[in-house]
Amino acid sequence: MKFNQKGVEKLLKHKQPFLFVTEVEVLSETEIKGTLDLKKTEHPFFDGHFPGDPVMPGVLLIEALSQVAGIQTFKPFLDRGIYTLEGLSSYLYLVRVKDFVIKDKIVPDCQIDFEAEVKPLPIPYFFEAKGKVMVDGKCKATGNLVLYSRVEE
Amino acid sequence: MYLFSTGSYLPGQPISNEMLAEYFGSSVHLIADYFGVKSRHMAVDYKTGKDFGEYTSDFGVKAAMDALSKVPQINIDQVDLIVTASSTPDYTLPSLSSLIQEKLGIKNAIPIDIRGGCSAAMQALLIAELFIKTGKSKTALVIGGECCSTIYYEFLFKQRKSYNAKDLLNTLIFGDGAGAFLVGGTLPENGGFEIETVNLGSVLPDQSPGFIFSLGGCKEKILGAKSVHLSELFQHLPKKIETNLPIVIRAMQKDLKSRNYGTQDFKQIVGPQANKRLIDDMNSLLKEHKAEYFYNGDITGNIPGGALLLAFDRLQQISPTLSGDKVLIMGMESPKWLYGYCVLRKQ
Amino acid sequence: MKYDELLNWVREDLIFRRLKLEDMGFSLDEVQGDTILFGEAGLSLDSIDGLEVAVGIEQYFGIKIGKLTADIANEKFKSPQTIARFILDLQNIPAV
Repeated sequence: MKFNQKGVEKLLKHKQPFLFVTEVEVLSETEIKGTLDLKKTEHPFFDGHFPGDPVMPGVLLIEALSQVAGIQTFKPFLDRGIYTLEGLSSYLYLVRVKDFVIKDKIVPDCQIDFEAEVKPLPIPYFFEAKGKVMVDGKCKATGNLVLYSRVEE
Repeated sequence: MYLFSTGSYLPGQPISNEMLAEYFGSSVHLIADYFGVKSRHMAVDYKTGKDFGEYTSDFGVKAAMDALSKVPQINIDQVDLIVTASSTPDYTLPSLSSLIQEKLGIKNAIPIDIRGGCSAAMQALLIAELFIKTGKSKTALVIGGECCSTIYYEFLFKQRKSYNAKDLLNTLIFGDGAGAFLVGGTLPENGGFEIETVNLGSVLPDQSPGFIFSLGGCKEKILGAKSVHLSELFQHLPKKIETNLPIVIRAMQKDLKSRNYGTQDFKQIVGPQANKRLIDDMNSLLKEHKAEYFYNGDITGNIPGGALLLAFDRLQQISPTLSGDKVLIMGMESPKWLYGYCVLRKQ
Repeated sequence: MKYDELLNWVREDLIFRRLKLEDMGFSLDEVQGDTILFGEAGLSLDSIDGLEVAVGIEQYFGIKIGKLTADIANEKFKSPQTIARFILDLQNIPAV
């Protein structure tokens, strides 16, 4: 199930200038992949990180991966044909960064590809997300995050 | 003609292969995996076979209300034409469209039933187009839907300890539900789509069917018939389908080309929502279009009269078409080798 | 089940009776151990008949075939003999 930018915007409370997902594809019960079309001119933080030498901040890669993985926590609703958070009370928070290794810098403009495997933890509303960050097929980072995700109807 | 809004309705909760395997055994997985269907919606309780009490007309009403709710500036009384597409209406008579008219409480509308399979929704849309373009109608509901499970599931459930693959496969590959398009001659403020063209083709009228659905007719007598075997209700002829469907698709592509639609024109394609292996075969024929092919038949099952309308509605929720982009909706029908398609452009 | 008994079951019950070959105009004699079942060169059974064969095996023996792969459909289900051998393999019993 593929969601374009407009579809993604309905599945996340995150909005510009803090939305770091362009499209996602839900692959299975636990697997999702996503893309971010990273353009220098769309993000003022590149002016400062760094002047004359734009580099995607590592912390924002963590944020982007958590947004992609966050959509996957919404899977039970997608299975029921609910494709929007409108009208629902939803909470999605990054709770823990267990591990995140950045192997190589990412420079705009480029397409960043994310792959994540998201599984519920034994505690209600908590999920573990293991993911990869790639550009042009090369792995730039890996991560292991914990998310809190809750939706009330 | 313009598409104001779309709606859809699937009864109950998704019924997965695992849930059905509880009652029919692990052969459920063998058959369902072969066709690529993971779940479907049913108008019966899968644990008992009893009807929930909602049928095709009710699904159609809910899909219509869903479409109408998205365009509050249009009053339901403005609807002056209802065209339905289904092979499983509540009754032979009264017609499905007039039942829906009654349930929606619309006083002055013309009801028309199209009986058909996977291209019936496009046949219905073409009828609406003719009415609107000639000024006979200003605002029309085109509703496609099916309710297959209430016809055979209880019967199948009673013989769940021993059944033929041919009996079970219909439960697994078909689904219940409906989709609706609200169309008209003048575009309202919310945008919507221009429907550029709706076309149909009967490609192999002299060829015998690839799928037969027999529920009784003047030739196919039901009254006093000896026990009807379930698999006789739906007859699949896969070899005919494998041979003839590519011919139907090529005829449709030729039709598109003759109207100057090129392979780069469509950003999204909504095609048949039938079994996945069929779609994969078609994908290789269609891949020259480089469009995103939307398929959700693995979670809705095949809902012949409703599939295209429902899938398009779901697509607009998942990956809404961008302004200026074109979508191709296409249906292929194997009972008698038809195609039907329409091209929409997002305003 | 011994191989010969199994082969007979496959020919008569699984193929001839379950697939209703008599209605299709075949006689039991036309279903021999080495008769090719699918495709133009044989009895021209189709993919749904293949599913029927798989389900018939699962139901009768209470075993799981799982997925009807191309290998099973094209090779293992080629003839009653290959089907009988396939069933024995599933039960881990060597053919006679």
